[in-house]
Amino acid sequence: MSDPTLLVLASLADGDKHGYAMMVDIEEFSGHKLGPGTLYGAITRLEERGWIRPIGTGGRRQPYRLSAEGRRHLESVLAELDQVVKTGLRRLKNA
Amino acid sequence: MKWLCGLAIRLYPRQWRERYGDELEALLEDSQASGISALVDLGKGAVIIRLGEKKFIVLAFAMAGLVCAAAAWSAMPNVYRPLGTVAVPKSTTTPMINDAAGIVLSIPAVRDLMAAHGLDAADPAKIESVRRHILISKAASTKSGDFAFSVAFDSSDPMTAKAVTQDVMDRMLRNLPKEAATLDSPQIPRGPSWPSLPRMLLTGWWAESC
Repeated sequence: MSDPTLLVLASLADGDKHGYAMMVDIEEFSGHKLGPGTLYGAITRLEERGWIRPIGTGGRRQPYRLSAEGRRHLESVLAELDQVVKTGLRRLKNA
Repeated sequence: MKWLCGLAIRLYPRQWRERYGDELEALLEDSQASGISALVDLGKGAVIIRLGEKKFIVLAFAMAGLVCAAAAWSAMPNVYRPLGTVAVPKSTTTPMINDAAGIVLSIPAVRDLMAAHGLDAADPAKIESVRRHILISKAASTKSGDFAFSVAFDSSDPMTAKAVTQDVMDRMLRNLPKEAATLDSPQIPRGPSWPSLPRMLLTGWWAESC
């Protein structure tokens, strides 16, 4: 699971973060170190889709927040992934 | 390397830089990312953003390229390759076959061959082209146990391809030991060896050949 947009959404699920905070958080919980271009590419796409939005006037260290629509999308994707993980684990156990 | 990363940010579209440029610079400062991987990542990110902005133009160029390729492919003539096989005694060495091929493929001989089949032999480039399209393989043992080599001539006209292949075989036989003989005569091919796919689909050759 290394889709940068999903990693950014998951990072913002527990609170607002700016770019560097997201980068550190994502590396901690997933082991994936997103490059600066990859991270800002994902932020651009997510903001275009309305799944995240900048908050306040953060200036150079602009924090982002998960929108309600972004939260719904994240929940739906995680539910699908959860189903895949559960099925995979069950099948491995029975094999 | 840091200044290179700064330059890499310049690769992004101006409008994008106005919105995210300062944030990206701050991220580079905070993360101290300035190595080759950061540089490559920034370059890749810039390309993706630029392609995303112009995706309709990119798509239009890709479609135009596909149409041009299909048109060029359709314009290419079908190539027919009938195959003839000459059986030779096992004592026939490769140099003997090469010598015979050298005689048959000499410029005067090819000019004579072309004249015999109504091909324009006045242009040296055409003579050279015909020489290139005459194929004589090395001798090898066949499945039936014969020692043989094959002869072919590629042409866009199946009748010419067959007639020239037969003629080249006869000329080869005249320059080989008398034990050499025709094993398989060339046949008019049912379909092209390298058909033009769009034309094949349009004319239904595919159905015919199946």
